[in-house]
Amino acid sequence: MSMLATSISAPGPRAGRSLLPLVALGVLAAAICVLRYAIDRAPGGSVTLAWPETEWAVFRRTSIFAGVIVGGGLGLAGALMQSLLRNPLASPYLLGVSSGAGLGVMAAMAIAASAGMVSAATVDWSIPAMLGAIGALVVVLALGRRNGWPDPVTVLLAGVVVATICAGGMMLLQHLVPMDVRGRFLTWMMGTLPEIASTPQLILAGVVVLAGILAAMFMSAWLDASLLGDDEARTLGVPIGPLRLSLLAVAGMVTAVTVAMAGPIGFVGLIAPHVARRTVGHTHLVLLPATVLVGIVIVVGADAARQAIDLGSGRLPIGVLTILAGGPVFLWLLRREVRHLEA
Amino acid sequence: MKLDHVSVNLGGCPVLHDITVTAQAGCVTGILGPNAAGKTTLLRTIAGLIRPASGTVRFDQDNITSMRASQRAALIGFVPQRFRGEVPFTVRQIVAMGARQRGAVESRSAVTAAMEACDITALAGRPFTQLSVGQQQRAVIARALAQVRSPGVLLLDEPLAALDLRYASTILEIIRQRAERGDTVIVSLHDLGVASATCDETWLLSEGHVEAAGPPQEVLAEDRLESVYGARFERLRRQDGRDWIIPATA
Repeated sequence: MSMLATSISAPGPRAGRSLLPLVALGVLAAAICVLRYAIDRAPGGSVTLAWPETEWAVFRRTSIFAGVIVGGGLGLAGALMQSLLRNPLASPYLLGVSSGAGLGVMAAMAIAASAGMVSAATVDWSIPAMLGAIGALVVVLALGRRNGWPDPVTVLLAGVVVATICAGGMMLLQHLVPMDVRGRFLTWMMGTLPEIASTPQLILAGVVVLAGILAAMFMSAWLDASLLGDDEARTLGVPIGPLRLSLLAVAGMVTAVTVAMAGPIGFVGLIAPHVARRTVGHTHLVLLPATVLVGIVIVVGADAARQAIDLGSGRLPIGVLTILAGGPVFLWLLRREVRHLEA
Repeated sequence: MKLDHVSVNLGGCPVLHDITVTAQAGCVTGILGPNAAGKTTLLRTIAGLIRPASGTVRFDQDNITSMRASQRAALIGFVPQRFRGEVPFTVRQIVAMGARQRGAVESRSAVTAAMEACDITALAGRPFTQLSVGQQQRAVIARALAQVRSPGVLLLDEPLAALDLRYASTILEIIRQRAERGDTVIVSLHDLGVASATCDETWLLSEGHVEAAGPPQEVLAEDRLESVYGARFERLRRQDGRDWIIPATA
């Protein structure tokens, strides 16, 4: 923990020197999106790179848009959580949002199963996921207060406990539903970028994430000062309580949108801010867009990679890839930081 | 800056009791007292960080407690006794955070002037984490100097604690200059000799009460100090006529 704490506080490039890496990240994110659009592998065949035919193009575009929204949103939410809670291990899911969404989906599946509807392939789980996520967020923000405003440690503890309670609820419901429903739920939990989504759904999610990015960037100078500690931030004119409440709500809503769209995709919100800090430094005006771009690179990149990987059991769920790849990358960053300190 | 019957509770315990004092603009006011007398709590209350259980803190006619955070920040610069050392910014970025609300041009010159005054210009590009505690202390003082346009209010909680003699002298000089420019300067100190030599007014605290307030030569009487600190002191006369107070040797 102390090593990670130093990794978050290690200096990065100055704001003026961060523009070039930011542009480079933008180009990389665009290139990854193009790669995802072109990459394909027929079942049992080899990987090909070609512009898709018209009937497939719409699925790829939907998947890319969803990846951009989910990756960007998780990156933003992760950066906000780590800064607002001053904890380099904070991730968007610490607010209990993904567990709340999971409980919402599981409850909806249980109700649908009892009504004989669960086998319908067209059932959209995003609404119960959204309701569950927002419900958990409201409870965590309500319980995580001290002197009327969210307190970093209390929010963290409330988030962990609410997530655990939601996990208990999910296990109870899984015990009660038929086996095939459990299978569907486990698939949802592994995360999948949708290839079919209505345009209003994509636009709505995109607007929520974009509004979150703009709101956070508008308050970026306050976020910088908040890293000094609550008292010092307040003496510099930062309304720390309202800032923390509003941006935790932004992080929670953005996470809720991404979980409703693609299920819980692990590690993106944790690792994207660390990679972005190493690239552009800590000034939030640059860090926030950089984190969004890194999140896009990770999610859309993982979605492209899963097209190429064939383990004989169909395409890997994206959440499995992000965790299996993200974990080692995080450990590598940690070791690099430790070596830097030792030197 | 006028405190009128201010009482403060922390965690349900009374810490300050019915404090009524006034700090004049253009003067350096020292807050003195033994450990746990309430010096830091009093400074934090004046800074608007703690809401009094009763009483008011006013600057001119404005109630500090009910001001917006940005209004308070434009008026009051605060140097805390303890600050986070693990902050991922350079010295210049730290100092510039104080001047952020002063507009681009004024902010740049305020940052440059404050860094020069505290002799940290050479450290401008260095990460805050790589500085000694004394250098960090000077950066935090520079931030407060850059923050407040004169005449404003400067609150400093043990600003000399981590400084060597050279920089303690530099900071005391800055404090005096800011007072001469019309600022209201309130500084908590442990060193009674420094307080006697630097402050125009002193508030002597004991167990959350103001034991005495006034010019140092009146407040820092040997019998009163002995009663408040439970120790004996000697008074030496300096060439400038001020007193120098040191613990009495056995």
